[in-house]
Amino acid sequence: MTDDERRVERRVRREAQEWMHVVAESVVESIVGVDLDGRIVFANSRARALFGDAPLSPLIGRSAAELISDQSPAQIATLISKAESGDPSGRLEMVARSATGEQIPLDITFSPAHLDGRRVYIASGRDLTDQRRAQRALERISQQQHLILTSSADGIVQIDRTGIVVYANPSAHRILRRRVGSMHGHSLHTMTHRADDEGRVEPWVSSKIWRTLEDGEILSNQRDMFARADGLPIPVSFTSAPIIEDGATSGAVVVFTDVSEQAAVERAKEEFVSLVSHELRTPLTSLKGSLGLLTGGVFGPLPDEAQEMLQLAVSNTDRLVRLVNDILDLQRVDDGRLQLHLQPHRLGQLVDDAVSTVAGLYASRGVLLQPSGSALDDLDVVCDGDRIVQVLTNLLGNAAKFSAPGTTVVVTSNLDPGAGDIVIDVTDQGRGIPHERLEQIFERFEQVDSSDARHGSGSGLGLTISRVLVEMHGGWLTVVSEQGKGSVFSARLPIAGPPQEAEQ
Amino acid sequence: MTRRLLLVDDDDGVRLVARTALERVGGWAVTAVSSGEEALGQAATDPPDAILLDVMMPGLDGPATLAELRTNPLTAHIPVIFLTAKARTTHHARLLELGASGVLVKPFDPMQLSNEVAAVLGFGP
Repeated sequence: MTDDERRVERRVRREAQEWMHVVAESVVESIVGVDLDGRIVFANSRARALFGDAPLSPLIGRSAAELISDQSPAQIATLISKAESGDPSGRLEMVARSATGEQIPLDITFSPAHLDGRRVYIASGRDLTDQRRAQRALERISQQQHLILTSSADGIVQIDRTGIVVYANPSAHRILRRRVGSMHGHSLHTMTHRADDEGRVEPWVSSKIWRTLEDGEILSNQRDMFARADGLPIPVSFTSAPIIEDGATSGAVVVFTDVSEQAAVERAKEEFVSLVSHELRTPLTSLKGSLGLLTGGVFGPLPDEAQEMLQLAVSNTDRLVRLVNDILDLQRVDDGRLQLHLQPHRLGQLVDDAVSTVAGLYASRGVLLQPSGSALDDLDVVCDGDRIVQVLTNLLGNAAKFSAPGTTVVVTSNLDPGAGDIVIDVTDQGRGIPHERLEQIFERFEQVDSSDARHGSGSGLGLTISRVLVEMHGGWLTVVSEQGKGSVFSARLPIAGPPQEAEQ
Repeated sequence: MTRRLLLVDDDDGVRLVARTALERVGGWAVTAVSSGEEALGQAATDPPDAILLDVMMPGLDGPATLAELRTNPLTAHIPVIFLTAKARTTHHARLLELGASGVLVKPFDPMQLSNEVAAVLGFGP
């Protein structure tokens, strides 16, 4: 070998070592070189950082076995022989002991090599700590999901793009009376839909679930019927949501609830309301009728005391009738069944009707009632006339009850042209309402104080219903009051009626 | 001539009160029966000037009785006023659609009942 040749060889070797050094330092793996005696002869800086490389205990020269906490010689031997035969696929997971005593899972590959003329094995270890942590987190999430799915009282079903069940939780099977696992692979629509008496079955393509798959929309149906395995139809409410993968709908999740009980409760409630309506009014009709005939003098004049007692019975019967009516009204409000019958009504007529209804009450209490009689009387207001008269009657009745004899209650109407509203004020000179009670008086069965019950004739529901009725008209009912001076109740109503609700 | 009214209600108390009110206050000649079935027989044998008919009754209820009355030539022309315990106007509208002349609500004011019946029928008070 000439000097030139030796120089070239040295340069090539130096360059190769530099190259190997650069590569070893730029990868994320910890790399060590181990000689045939098992001593470490090379380590990159990651390996030094991981295993520790102090001047008094340098990494170079230590036994590789010390670095590993779960030695498995047989496995290592297999790996080495694989590497010897040129198969680079051999890998082994080992737990290494770090300089700080931590157990570090490593994914290790071995390659035979030569270093400075010696046979060595290069062991390259990838730290699996983060991967393991992510894996555990994923397992935890999937366990939680599993728990949610299995413990949910709702039926949860995943279907594929064609409506075939991919997964159904235990509740889905329970609600549909199917053996757990038996729904998998079958069409959800076919399983849950049976022919009606005339042999018709709702077509799959007209179902909401199909539309979810087709349009990717989240849809719900509050009242649908699913057939159970035993053929019994059950009322359900369900939501279907698309599963979107890479921008396309790959399936859907259908969550459904058996609402049989809810439906039964609603039916019972309706029956109860009907019962209250009929069974309470019928005896009240006899009571009110017989008392009315007696006080009306049909059977001749009565002693004053008897007349007074009968009058008391009549007014309390009327109170019971109002209470029954108010409870039924509120029940309708709660059920969303209270409907307004809108028509144009002359404002003056509405006020007159209410005034004449309460005229007797005002006369008996010695309170003066002063309707304003304004230019607005001829104005047409689109509203449910009966209901607005009910509101005004209630406000006027309250005003009379809390006014001292000789004081005056005034009804005035004002136009708010900007808003297109009419505002009807009922102003009394009564004792007023404490500031902190102003909102509470609109609550159910609230009175300003407990002695109010003795003022009689109130159901405790009048203001609640009045506010609901005014709000249903698109307006609002408010009160301003000063203790000792009186109160003003204001009903604000849009002249053109309630605003059209946006279509659902 | 005294106007004759057939009163139909399954409740004894309501029947007594309504009958007394109509006879004593309004001067009607009232025949009272307690079921739709009885009403059909009574109306056919002795057609009244008007029928005051309860809506909710066991057996043949008010609307069913009205429908039967309309199928019999002897009773088809008799004006019928429903007496109902339901206060809603939608309910009243449905009753009027069945061909009733009017709807009165329970509980009624006994001193005004006869006037209300007369007003529905277009008679003077």
